[in-house]
Amino acid sequence: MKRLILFAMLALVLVAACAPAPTPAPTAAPPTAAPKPTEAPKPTEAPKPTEAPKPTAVPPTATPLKVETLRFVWFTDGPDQAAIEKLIKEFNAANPDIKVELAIVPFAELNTLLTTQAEAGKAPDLARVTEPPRFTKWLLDIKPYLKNKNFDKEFIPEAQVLVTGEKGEMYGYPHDFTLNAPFINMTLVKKAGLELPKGDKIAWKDWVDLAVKVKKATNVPYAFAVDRSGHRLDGFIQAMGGGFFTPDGKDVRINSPENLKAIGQFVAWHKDGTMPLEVWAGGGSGYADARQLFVNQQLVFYLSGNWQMAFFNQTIGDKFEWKAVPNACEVQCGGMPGGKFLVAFKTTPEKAEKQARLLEFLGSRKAMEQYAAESLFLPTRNDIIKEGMKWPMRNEDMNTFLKGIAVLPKSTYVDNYHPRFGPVANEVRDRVTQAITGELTVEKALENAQAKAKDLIK
Amino acid sequence: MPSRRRASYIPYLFLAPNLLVFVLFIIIPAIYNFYLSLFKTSFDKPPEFVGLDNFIYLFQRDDFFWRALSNLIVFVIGDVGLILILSLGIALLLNEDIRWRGFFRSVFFYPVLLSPVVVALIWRWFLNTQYGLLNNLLRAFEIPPQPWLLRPDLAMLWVILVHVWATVGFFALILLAGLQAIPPVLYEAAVVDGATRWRSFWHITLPLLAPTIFVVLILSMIRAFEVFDHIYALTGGGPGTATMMIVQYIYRTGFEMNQFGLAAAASLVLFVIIFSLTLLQYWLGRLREAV
Repeated sequence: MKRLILFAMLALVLVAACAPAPTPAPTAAPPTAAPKPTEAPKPTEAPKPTEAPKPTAVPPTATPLKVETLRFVWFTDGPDQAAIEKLIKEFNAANPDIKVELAIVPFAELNTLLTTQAEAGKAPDLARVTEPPRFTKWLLDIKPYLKNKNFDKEFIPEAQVLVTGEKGEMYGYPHDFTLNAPFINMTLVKKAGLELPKGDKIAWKDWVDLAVKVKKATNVPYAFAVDRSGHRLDGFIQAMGGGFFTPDGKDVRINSPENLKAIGQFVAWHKDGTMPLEVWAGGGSGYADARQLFVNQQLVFYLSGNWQMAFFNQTIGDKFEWKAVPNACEVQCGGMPGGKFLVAFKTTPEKAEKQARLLEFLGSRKAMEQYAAESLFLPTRNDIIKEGMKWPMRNEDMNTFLKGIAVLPKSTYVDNYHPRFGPVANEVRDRVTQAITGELTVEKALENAQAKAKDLIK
Repeated sequence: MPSRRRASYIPYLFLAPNLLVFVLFIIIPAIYNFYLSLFKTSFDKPPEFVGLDNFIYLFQRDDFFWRALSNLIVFVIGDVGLILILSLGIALLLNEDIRWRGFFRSVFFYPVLLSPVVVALIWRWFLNTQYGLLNNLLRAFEIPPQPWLLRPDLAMLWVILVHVWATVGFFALILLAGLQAIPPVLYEAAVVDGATRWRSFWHITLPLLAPTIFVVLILSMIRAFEVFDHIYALTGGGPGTATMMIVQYIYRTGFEMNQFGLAAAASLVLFVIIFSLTLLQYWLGRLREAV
């Protein structure tokens, strides 16, 4: 009996030892800077919802309508959830043969969840993602099923390329856009008796000089702050002709003369007290934002992005006057794109047309304007970017961002949508922090970052 | 006889669930980690076998790894040294026959019960340059506030002090148990012979407490080498890389740089260090028993 028990235990151990190896842990750094979760904006006058077309009358002798369920995996940044749920409800009402089920998942789990499900043949029908290239081998080419065969031309081309196959397949499209851009405390500027710089080509130095004058006049601790993020830093240096990758995306240029000049200035502003050490030196090893400094009026000028709009609208409200201003434009305009994509996964042939129908609906001008207006996100359709749109709140600020998209240089898209952008940006961020704390000189920091980045892109 | 046979397999039945969990979550991942350290990994390509290249990269080309290792050595020396001195002092005090001894014993142990993240966040607030309590106290005495966690040297000092504060109670308790195992008759005999307190401490307490001190030394070293949560929540390894330790280097390499093979190699290096310490403890323990 003792031997039987021992054999059973041994068998158990052997079975456990032969278990499949655990999959690698999820990555934590997406190539696009994911907006931080924000609180829902206060209810405002929303644009009129699209009227659901009346369902066609079904003759009594026809076979009962077969309802196909589409599983749609979504992660939320806050205000977008209500907006997408409303659109899904409208779509379900207008398409009685389809029932879309939204499955909200945490962003940190998204890539692992989708990869695991796709590997097991249980991918959702659609998903909102930040890194489409991860899933290309499982994605559905929706072009044959679309009513508008030129649907892919409707969206920002530099972003659309990320969901386009080698032979022109269309796996999805960019659904919402984010843009790195600065905010300024106008109450402090007016208190200092100063005005904003005018013109199309305002350099970062012009903005920061103004912020320093306001800081001195109003006695606030800091003039200028930037979120601790390689993505944000890239947007900053782009205005001076800098960037992380070469135009063809095949190599890196971290220690280029343009980057040395731009990052040298960035580091110097930290050392002379213009920028707070708390964010880049004291922000730990990962992402850290400076929005609390701005909300508490300890900061004049803050480089972040449009995803802060809902948070600022909620927390600042009317406590002081603030606004979004354009990125600096020197050699070229600064700023960095980001955003999310909607993609369709290969499931069954019967579902393909329905997946395309949903994507075409969500990517239509009306639906996208409604979504952007309710979530305070930016649209990705070329027609809306060109003609502008009206937001129910902070309309002037949102259109400032929209105009910023139109002047984004190609190099920003090359950088942001490079498959290795995430790790390279993290490396540059940490090396620049070493320069700020004095561990390394700026030259040595960028030299080390260049060497590591070359390894990362191999 | 049959009942004795039945009873003999029951302990194995109780052990089986724990053994299963141990194999699934410790043994298998450890073996996989060794395997992974021989590969170069990325999310969009299959793993590529590179042999020992990851280890060569760590030791020859990665300045972050060396920075983390040197920080760790500084941290271990400071942390273990302070813990040994303070925990012995606290244990000696708590062994005295004083009023509210039970209360003081609890007070020194409370920080051990707190979550490391909670400890770090409280101290982070306390040490904040702008609104931290410590700088506010300094301002009250017209002393300029200090960037406690923003200067590399000060950040390392505070990282050590916070870790010592949070863990010294545990080691003091171990030494207190060792002190209480020393027969009081030895001290009585020393008093009769005219020995001073210092001589009693040097010739009786220390030699008889030596095995316990050695246990505290090894345990505190192992804990120091594994440190992560306190520092990650307090400074995040910053400013810059001033307080980055090996475990955080591993975390950054795997989860922020997507280099899981390299992270696995670094974790193997840490395993070798900690395993060596454990073997040393075992060998010295056996040597002492033989003597």
